[in-house]
Amino acid sequence: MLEKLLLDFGTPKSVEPLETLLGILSVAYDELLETLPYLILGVVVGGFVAEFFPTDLVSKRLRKASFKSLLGCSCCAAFSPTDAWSSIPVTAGLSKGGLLWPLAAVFWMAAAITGPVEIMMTGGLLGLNYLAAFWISAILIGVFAGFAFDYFTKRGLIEEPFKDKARRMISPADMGFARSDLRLRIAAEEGIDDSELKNALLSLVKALSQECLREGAALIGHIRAQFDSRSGLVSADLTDPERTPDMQGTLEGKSKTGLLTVILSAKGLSDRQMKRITIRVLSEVMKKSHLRTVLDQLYLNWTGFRVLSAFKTSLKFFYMASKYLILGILVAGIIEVLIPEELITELMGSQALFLSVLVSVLIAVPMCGCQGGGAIVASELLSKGAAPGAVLSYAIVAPATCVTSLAMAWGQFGWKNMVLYTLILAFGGYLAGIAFNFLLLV
Amino acid sequence: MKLLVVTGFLGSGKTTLIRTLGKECEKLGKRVAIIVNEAGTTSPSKDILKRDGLNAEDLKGCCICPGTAAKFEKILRRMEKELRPDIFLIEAFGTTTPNAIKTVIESIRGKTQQKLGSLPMVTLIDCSREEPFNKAIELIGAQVREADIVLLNKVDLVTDSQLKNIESRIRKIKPDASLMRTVASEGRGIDRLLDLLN
Repeated sequence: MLEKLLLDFGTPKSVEPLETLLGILSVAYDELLETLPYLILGVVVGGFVAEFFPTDLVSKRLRKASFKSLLGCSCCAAFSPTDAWSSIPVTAGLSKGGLLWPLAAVFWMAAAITGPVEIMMTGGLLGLNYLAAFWISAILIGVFAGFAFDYFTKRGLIEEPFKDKARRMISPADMGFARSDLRLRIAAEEGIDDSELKNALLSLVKALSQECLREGAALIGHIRAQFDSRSGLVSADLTDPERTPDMQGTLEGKSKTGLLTVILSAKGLSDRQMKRITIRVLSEVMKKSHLRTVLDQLYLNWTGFRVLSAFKTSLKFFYMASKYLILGILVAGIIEVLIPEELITELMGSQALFLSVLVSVLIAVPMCGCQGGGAIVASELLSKGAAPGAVLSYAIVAPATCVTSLAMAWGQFGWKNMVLYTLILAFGGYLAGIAFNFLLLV
Repeated sequence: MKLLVVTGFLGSGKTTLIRTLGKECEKLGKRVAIIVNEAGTTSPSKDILKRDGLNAEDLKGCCICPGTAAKFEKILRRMEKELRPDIFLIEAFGTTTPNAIKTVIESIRGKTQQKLGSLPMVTLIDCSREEPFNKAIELIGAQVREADIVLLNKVDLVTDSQLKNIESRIRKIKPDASLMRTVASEGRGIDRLLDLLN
């Protein structure tokens, strides 16, 4: 039936089942090759953004989704060199780094529309007036998205991704408790015995509590340093800085390697402050105790630790974003192979002001217009006499709702956020198209 | 299959109590499965429990709360299938309040192979620390109010008057609180819990 419907509009590019399948796989493969570099670039940048984002500074200045903050975010995104694919992990990094989700969603929306290739192609193929309209629309759609995401997040209709689930508590009383935990394999060349280890663990938990208090912690929750090796498990627990830490377990003989776990929870400090304290104190105590780590030069200095954390976060983002990527590229292949180009131009060539823009948006959403593809089709539409608003809508919506990028967004932010993003983009693209029609034609 | 949840402020002795209860129940021939909830990415409590030969799994990086009930359910059902335990002991992390866990347990009731019999919700109080009562009273207050049994732990480290002071503070939060004095590390004062479990 679909084939008959499509034939009414034009000839599908292929009708033989094997040829169709090979065509779909070939397009899917090309899509994968096209997507991967941007995905990799995006996850690396996203990982570093998440780790090095100035959370404390930003959370002080951007505490709510006001018009000013949304506009600022949208403008930054519109000038950022990220596109529909790379903006997803970068947005993830911003959200994980502590930026409010509506503000991060603004970045996602505006940056996805204004990828560098899209800007060059829109300016080059459609002209400067279209480019200006394209840019301004992207910024305004970003602001609109910010309000919409804020509204839906506050009402619990969408879930904020990367918000620490442990914090999404149950009880507002939980607020204010931060936590740092670290596990690393450590070694002692000469081996470490029970008393040496206990002394090291005692010094570690005491020093950690002193540092936390010195940096302004209001209350120490629990500090635990635990060494687990073949020779036994020893742990030191401190809850009250005034009391001697509790020691548990013994080490039978000397141990040369083992896993050291350090957990720190306190009220009044940020997670990042606690991590920094952990690394600094651990580094000092290990030096004194003649202990080392496999990667101690990297791990036991704050910058090295953060670089490693950034790469770990990148890997996590890559896994999340690529979860539905295969599905996305297959759908992209099906659309590319089975939907004839004539269908698009036939449906959108109308000069009707409202209808042509609506059709344009409805077609642009499932089409794959990343990396300038949207601008190329838009310029063809323009040459075939489509209404300017329909052309602009297609140029805005098609690149940002590429199936592969939507699949990545599904994996990274969940389906509800992905659907909301698509709806806002379609609605925003429609309004931009109508407004552009009125500006130029009425 | 019985299920006992232990909540309590950070460092109040939850792992120690779970370890003692687990060992005692196994001595009585019961099969015990333990789920340790950790807020972070590491789970040293599970390592401690495993060292003692107890069957422990962890739920890391999220709370046992309605939004993440599926993760908890998955672990619980897997352990039920593999171990066929008589008793489940659940250790919540230190900033969890009992009501959220009650909601989760209600949501998975009927989804386990064996009938799930919930026991009273337990909250531990570290009697040797007064500071959390002053600086985290909202959290401790919620834990006490929402618990069925309040265990006053580490009573060996305080004097009688200090203990009475703690008790009166708890009575102010919840006048009808069911209080039990314990030293979890020595297994003192946990008889009532053992009776409930066995």
